Amino acid sequence: MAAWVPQLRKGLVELCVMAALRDGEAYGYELVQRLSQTDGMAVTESTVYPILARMAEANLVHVRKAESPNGPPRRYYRLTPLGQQRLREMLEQWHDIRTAVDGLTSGGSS
Amino acid sequence: MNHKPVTLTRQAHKTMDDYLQQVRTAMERSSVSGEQIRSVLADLEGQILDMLAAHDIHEAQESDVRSVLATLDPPEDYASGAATSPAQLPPSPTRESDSAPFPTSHSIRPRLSKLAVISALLTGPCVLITFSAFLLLLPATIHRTTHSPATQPNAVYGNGVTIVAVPQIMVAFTMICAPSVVTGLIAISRIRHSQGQLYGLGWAYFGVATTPLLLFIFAPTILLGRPVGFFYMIAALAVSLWLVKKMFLSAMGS
Repeated sequence: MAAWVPQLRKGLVELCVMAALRDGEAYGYELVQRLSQTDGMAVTESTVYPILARMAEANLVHVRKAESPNGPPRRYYRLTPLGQQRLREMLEQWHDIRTAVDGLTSGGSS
Repeated sequence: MNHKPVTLTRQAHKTMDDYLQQVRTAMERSSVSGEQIRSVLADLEGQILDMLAAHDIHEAQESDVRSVLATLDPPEDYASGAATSPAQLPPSPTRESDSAPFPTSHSIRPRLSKLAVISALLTGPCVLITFSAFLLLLPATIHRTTHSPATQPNAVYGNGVTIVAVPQIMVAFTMICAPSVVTGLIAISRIRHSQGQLYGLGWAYFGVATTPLLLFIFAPTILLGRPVGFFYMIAALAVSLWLVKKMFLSAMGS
């Protein structure tokens, strides 16, 4: 795989993590599984967990601890109002970028 | 997924801890906050246990943990993941499932709970406070149990000392002895939830139990007066010493 492919993917992981939390809370491993099963994403835990930790510290996600059947309490993440606002802004940016790139790659001007 | 909790053998636990410690070391080199590191390690530990449970493993051996770790990212990946924003991240190294998942040079060992030690150490001042209180209140006890008139000098002294000493003893007890119990209880909770990473349960029990034991010995002694109180004190001391000996042995073993 060319080196720029993971680079491109990782640039979008934060957006994808927030988008995955848009419909409700999820715990870390659940998010990793959800994102890794998304075609073209192929992200792993070493990318997702530090992002979740940074987002929690920036108050973009709220962390709730709940009992796990398998061991220590699970940490469930959900978007805070600030996180939802950030996601809306990122999606707007993403939409603009995608439109521009689509325009360039299809040979037209954006 | 089966809902029986996963337990790890001692060696399996050590293997998992080694990996987590290397992730911690990698993240610490990236100068991320301690809270972020704790968050990542908690998620990662949960994932490892979930993956073991998904394989229907309930008592994981070292080989089970190694199999799971072999499918995870190498610890050094967390340095890059934590240090920069996603847009600045370098390409991820290829996953090396066939190689050893981590070197063994950095290994985490279970560590003694600091709170358990603090709780146990606070019992020293507690004992001093209790003995001081006992000696201060002794004249009042003697006065009360010998039925001397309240106008006698020793009675006046006893009442005066009681009025002055009791509030001070209560403040000292609250400032020193209550924290000993509270820190001990927190330490017990943390040790039990640490999955073997913390030890010192005996110290924590010692810190929690000493204050109630001191009260058990000296409060009735003061209230009963002599001679019944002193017989009670001897019996209570014997019982307490036996309990302390048990706790000490437990502390040495934990």
